Amino acid sequence: METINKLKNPVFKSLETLKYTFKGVNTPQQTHPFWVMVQKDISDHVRSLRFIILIVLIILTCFGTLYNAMSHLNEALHNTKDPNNMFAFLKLLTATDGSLPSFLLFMSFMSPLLGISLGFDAVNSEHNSGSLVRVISQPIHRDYVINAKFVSALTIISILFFSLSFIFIGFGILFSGLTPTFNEFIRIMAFTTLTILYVSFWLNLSILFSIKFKQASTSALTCIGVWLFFSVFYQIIINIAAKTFIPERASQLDKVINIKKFFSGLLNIAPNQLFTDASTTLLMPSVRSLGPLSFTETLGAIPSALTLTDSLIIVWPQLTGLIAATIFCFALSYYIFMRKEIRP
Amino acid sequence: MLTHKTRLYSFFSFLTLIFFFFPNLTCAQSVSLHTPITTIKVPPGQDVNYNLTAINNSNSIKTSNIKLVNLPKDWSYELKYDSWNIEQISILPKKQEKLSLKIKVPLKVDKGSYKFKVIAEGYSSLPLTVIVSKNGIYQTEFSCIQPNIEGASDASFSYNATIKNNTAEDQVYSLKATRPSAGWYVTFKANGKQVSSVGVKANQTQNVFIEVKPASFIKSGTYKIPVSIRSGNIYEKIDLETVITGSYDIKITTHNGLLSTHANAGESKKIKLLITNNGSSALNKIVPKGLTPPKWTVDFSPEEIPVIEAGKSEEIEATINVFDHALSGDYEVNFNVKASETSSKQKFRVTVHTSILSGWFGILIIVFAIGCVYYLIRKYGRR
Repeated sequence: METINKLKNPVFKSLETLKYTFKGVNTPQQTHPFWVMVQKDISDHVRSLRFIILIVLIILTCFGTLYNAMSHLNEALHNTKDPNNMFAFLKLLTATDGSLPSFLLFMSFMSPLLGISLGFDAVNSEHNSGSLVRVISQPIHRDYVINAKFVSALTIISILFFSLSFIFIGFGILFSGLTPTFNEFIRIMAFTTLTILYVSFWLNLSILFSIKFKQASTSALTCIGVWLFFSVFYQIIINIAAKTFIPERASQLDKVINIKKFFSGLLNIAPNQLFTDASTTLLMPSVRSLGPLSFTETLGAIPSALTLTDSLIIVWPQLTGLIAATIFCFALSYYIFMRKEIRP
Repeated sequence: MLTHKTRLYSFFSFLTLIFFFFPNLTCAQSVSLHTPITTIKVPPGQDVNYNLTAINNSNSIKTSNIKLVNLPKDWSYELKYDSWNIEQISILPKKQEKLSLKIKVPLKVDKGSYKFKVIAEGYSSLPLTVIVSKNGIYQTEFSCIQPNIEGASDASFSYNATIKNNTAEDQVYSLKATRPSAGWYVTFKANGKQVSSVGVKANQTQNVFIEVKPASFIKSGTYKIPVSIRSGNIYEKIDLETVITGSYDIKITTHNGLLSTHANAGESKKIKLLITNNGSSALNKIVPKGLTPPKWTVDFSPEEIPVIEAGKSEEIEATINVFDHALSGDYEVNFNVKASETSSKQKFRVTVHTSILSGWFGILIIVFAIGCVYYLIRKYGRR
């Protein structure tokens, strides 16, 4: 049974490898074919020009916003009216003087592009070049192909964003002389995980399109179309629709609030809205609620920083939405890929 | 005997000779002075005006110096003809001239009658008497119309005192109050400014506000506050009286002074509150009340305390019912405590945490999604 497991289960296999590595003994077996595929995909990505261009773009943005935040950190920390002024490291990610958007805003804009660029030609380019048939003809499971595509891209994204976060924290320590509190550290890590999750959603969506469409350019355009729709047009459409439903006179306040809640619920379907809401809550501890609030909820409330647990509870629906959307895209692409005719 | 007679004779003849050669002497009343008022009764500091008439009874022009003699020290006078100060007058035969005499009676003068004379040198004299009706005051008056004020110990007492400088010089008075005990504060105010000394010009008055502030712990009773002014050897004192009726002060707090608590949304949180009477009198009918955000409620047990003696405290239990849809974060709850005499307010901070229950729903969705993927892998992946 164990040997079958070893052969079939890539996770079990990798655990085995780890065990041997810790013992300081060379692995007796060859690397599992799944990890070979992942490594090949990673090296393909890292060497491709479009990935390098995107990385350069993201690193430039990162340092630009870091410089901007650094120069206004002092100001932001001394603003005693702001209940977030004690969180120096969170300020690094959110503070801005208006000339350049904050890191947070840039990420919500750039990370979908990264996800799309890593996935839009994942399957169809291999299919078109004929390499897919050759891979499938090897004695491996068919789903290794799509799993490897996903895992390799996810690995790259994770490494990239965690290193960016640590660079931010490192520069923050270097320039401000402060050390992040445990609370801040966990918040930044949670934000990083959230960003990775968000990118992986767009990655899965683009993989889905890459399976669906034979031409890489079609899939790329469709992805960008979806991204543009959600980040620009969706809000406009919802706003126009909301305007026709919300009565001019605010005579029935409860009714107005209910309608507003309904439309903000509609807005929350958009993944970029989910990401913005969740990241804002994580990086600004004073955010107590998302969406419209009734008068009874806000009266008597004192502006103050929430605890990490409370912030996490607030963003939990958004996180659930993102995770569910990501898994749904993956499941759909998996299903389609498995039933796809791959012979040219 | 003869010699005696001779002497008498020669004496008379000498007299006759003198009378012959000095007709002025013989006719002593040829210039006489007259005034209708010869004795006058005045208070100190008053000016007395005499109308003098100088009369020439002779048939020749008479010239004479007019002088005042025996005028008491510090008194002064002005002698005028029309508007001129004069020293000598000359009168036509059988005529008279009007003069005016002003006597300045000083402030610093004893009670009694003062006699002096106006003389027309070489002719006649006019004795005048000024009776000073009372002892003159050469001092300062320091008075307060209402020296007794009553109030609670947390009130401040304002006395309105007046300094009247009756001396002939400008004075600077230093002000001093003797406090009954520690915990009293006395301040002086003149011309709207807080002062410790005040300058008053001669013959002027100055209002001084004396503000007395007792500490809130001062027990009820009557307290005397002597206030004195001093300038050189002038020393005046008045006694102010402050009647304290007792103070009312109520506080609401907790045992350890912690004014915040944590609660979950929809939860009822019990906290123990301490109501303390910090005043110096007993408080009656104490009713606690909670001022909460909307849709929150606060219940107290007991709902009313009949009486709390001075310095004592009572414990009550408050149950804060947090609104089901309260946001996580801090909310402000105010506790009002109202006695029939006084009331007070205390802010209280409640940190609301939302329940994790909704989170499990999200986890369920994720688990379901992962389950779907697992099913897909099972069904299609390993063929």
